[in-house]
Amino acid sequence: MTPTTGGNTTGGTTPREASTGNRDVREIVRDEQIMRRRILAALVDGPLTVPEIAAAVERPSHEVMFWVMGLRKYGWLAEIKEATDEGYYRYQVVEREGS
Amino acid sequence: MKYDALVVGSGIGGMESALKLGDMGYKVLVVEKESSVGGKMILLSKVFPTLDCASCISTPKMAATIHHPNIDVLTYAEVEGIRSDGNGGYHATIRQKPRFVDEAACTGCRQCEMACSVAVPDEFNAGMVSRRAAYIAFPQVVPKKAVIERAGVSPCIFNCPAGIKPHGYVALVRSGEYDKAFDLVLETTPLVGSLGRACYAPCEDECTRGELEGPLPIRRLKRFIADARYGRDDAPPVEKPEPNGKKVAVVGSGPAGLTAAWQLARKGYSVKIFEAAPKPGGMLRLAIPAYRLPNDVVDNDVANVTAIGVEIATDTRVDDIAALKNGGFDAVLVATGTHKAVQLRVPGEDLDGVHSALDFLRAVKLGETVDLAGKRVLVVGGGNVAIDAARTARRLGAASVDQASLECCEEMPAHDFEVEEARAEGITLHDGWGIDHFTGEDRVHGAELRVCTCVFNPEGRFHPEYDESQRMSLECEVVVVAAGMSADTDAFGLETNGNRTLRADPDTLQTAAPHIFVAGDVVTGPTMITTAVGQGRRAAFMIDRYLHGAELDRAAFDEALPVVDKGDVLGRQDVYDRREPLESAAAMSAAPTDFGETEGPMSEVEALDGAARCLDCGVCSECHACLDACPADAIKFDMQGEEIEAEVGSVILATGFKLFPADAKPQYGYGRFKNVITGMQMDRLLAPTRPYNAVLRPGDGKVPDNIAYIMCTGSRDETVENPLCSRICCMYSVKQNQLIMGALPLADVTVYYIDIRAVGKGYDEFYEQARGMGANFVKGRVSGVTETDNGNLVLRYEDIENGGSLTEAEHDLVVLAVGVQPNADAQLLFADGELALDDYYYVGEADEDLNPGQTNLPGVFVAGSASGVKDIPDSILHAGAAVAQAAAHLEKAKVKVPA
Repeated sequence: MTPTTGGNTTGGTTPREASTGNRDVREIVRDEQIMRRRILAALVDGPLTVPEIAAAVERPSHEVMFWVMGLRKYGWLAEIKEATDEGYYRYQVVEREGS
Repeated sequence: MKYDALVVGSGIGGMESALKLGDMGYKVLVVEKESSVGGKMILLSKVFPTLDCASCISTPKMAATIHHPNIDVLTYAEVEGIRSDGNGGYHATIRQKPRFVDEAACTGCRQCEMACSVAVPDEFNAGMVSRRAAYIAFPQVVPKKAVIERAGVSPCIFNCPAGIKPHGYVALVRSGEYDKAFDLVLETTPLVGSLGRACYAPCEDECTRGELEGPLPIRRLKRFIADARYGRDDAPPVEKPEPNGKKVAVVGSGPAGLTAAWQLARKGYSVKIFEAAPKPGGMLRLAIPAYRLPNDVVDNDVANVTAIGVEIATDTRVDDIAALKNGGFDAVLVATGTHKAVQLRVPGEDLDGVHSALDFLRAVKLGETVDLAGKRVLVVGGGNVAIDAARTARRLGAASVDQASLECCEEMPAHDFEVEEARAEGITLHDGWGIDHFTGEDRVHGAELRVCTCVFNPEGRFHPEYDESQRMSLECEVVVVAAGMSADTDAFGLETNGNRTLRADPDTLQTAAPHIFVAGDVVTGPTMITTAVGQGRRAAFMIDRYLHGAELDRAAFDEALPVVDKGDVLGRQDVYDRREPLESAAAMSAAPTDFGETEGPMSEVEALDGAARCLDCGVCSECHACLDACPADAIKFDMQGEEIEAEVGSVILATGFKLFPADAKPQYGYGRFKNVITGMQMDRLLAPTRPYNAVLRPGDGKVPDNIAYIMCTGSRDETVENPLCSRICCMYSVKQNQLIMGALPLADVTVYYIDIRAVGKGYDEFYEQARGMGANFVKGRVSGVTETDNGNLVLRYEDIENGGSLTEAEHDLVVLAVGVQPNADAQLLFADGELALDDYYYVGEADEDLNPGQTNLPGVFVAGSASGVKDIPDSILHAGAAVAQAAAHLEKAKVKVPA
């Protein structure tokens, strides 16, 4: 028996192109900085759920989750306490210096 | 360093071992590779079966470990090797990795993290959210000190002769911080706009993205931030430092002189530049045509220098360098460049109508009348200056422009893109031809050319050879010769080299006269703008040291980490999204008539798209935002790693375990289906320091209401070569079931299992409690998972308790109860094969039944899950056994270090 390695441990191999909608997590996370302004702009008129933000910025919801949660972690966004009837929280811009 | 015991790893087994030994009075060294003690336990939500808060019971042990008087802890350090001392003890070599943060000064305020421009997956949140390159791993981290993750220097930074941080300003552009990006370049040079247009961008040659679709438009991003700053009416003023009372003269206002003056002025020096030309800028002003570098851009760059208080005296030629000292200058920098044209030395070169390219370009740039309308122009040379001259002649209305180059096209010193652009503008290139002589009586009428068969001799020296049988004649009214440039240094009274460049120490740039320094092309001969900028920075650094009485010879200038390996960078991702490089913005005309810029500006969208392609090679971008943000001045980019040798009486290996990589069971869809997560990820979602605001689906943020658990993922499974039961999966899943039902009272929880192993005090009761709360346990192994359009997941399983039929069930979130794997790294600490592992690659216990914790090596013990998976109480118990073994060994061997 040898320890099994997962797919994300293939250092040094020839990079492959991502199939549509399945980007590497590292790549998605790297885009957080550039998506910040677009997401904050989408929220100017009020709080939105993740799928609504995804529609506004025209990116997949699972990628928007990374960005919204990253922006929440670093104080740009905050959730509204009650979830919608469909089971989604809405996120709003936090007033801060530079926002 | 001498210790009774070395404990490798600071999870619960390591901490317990260290604390018990410390309490017994032994001196203990704990080495932890992460930036905090605590291991995996501190990242858990609660522990089973008591449902105590994992943080609440971990943090006191973490603090006790750090503060124990008999325990020293090295976090962010790795044991590189352990070898016997032959006396029952061991020597350990430990590498303390640099945090790039002064631990004593850091207050753990996270300001660096908040300002950081680089986002990477947060491994402490199981990759479900981002962290920053500058980070504090998690809120309960002990010690609470930041770390800056640096994998090395990014290739773009490493390859910039000027010392600019391209990765840094690209990352700041990506964050929309255009002003900060501009200011970062200003830290190096005031020539932001000029370099944004005229730099040949060696950074782009080494950009790792070039291994994919093509490099980032790094130079044009610099132009973008310069345009953004210079286009503002409310640009922030340059801050003037307090004068330090010392004066420096700079002779020459090219890239080296301006950069040196800027750097010295920033340190409070009173700086005066003496420039022989009517306007400052050197080659930027006098040679590079306006279609590449408009004068107003140079003006803006020079204005940075004057704004900080540097005085520039133009039309002021300095011949006697030594005499400047009498003018009250404490030091002098000579940066006069290479403004003297090299002659061809062929017959007819002195005819009217034959000009040097430098004189020609200078006249045009200074607005003098140069009438080429209707004239046939021959440009001689194959370098960038020749190309500039040819394209300039085209714009001045020449009837035709021919260019003769000794080198064939592939060998021409000019850049390929410039040759292409010249051709696109209608210049006829005769490559591989040399001038034999110019024809004409008083004025030049043409040139006789012959084929050049070889430009350099075998030693690499310029020594052209010709085929005299192959000749041609070209008629022309004007000849522009670009045969090279040299320094004009005869009058300076300084030592020179054979090529008239000034002689100086290549590292300190100090001449034989201690107060006179030199920089730029006048030292190196003609090079790139960035090289001259780098020389100017170096000279300013050395002059500052000289005037402070500091030693120059061993001064560390631009000391950097090694460059990061591109293969390592590309290996960080399995797949790459294709992102097309920005196309060239050069708008070419076959018959250009003016000196308007050929390259258009970047739009903001283009700039952001371009910056978004950056791969963050070095991880930290060196944008210096953390330096500005840190209120404690704790960021230390020059921090070095350290190798530590320790003599220890015994070793306890507490290196823990690894989690099974869930994507190694592809039928469950982990990594492809966004709502399939691992047990560790669910634990993070349930923890108080969770990555989300609640338990949510990663696919879309929906609160799940029908959650499935698939047990034994990667354990008890011969298909992944792991026949062992992972022991903890059943109970952590049961724990999570209860926590989910508490957090989401309306959610259904279904557990697909083979059998439930609840062996331990109170464990079966804990399991029954979960059932009683409503968790649905279905006996059946799941064979596969598929995804529906709404992100829900359909599980296909054998329903064993209902006849064994194949059944499907839909859920909106699936948790894989992943098993654990051995951490075989412990074996690497010893010489090859010295430390025995068991049949399953865990650290072997020589006599597991009667002598737990004892490895095959005397004095080396194993604690916790490093010897086989254990839950927390068993890990603590096992650590106690290892401690007892170690204490017995220490007493027996009498290797205890006296207090």
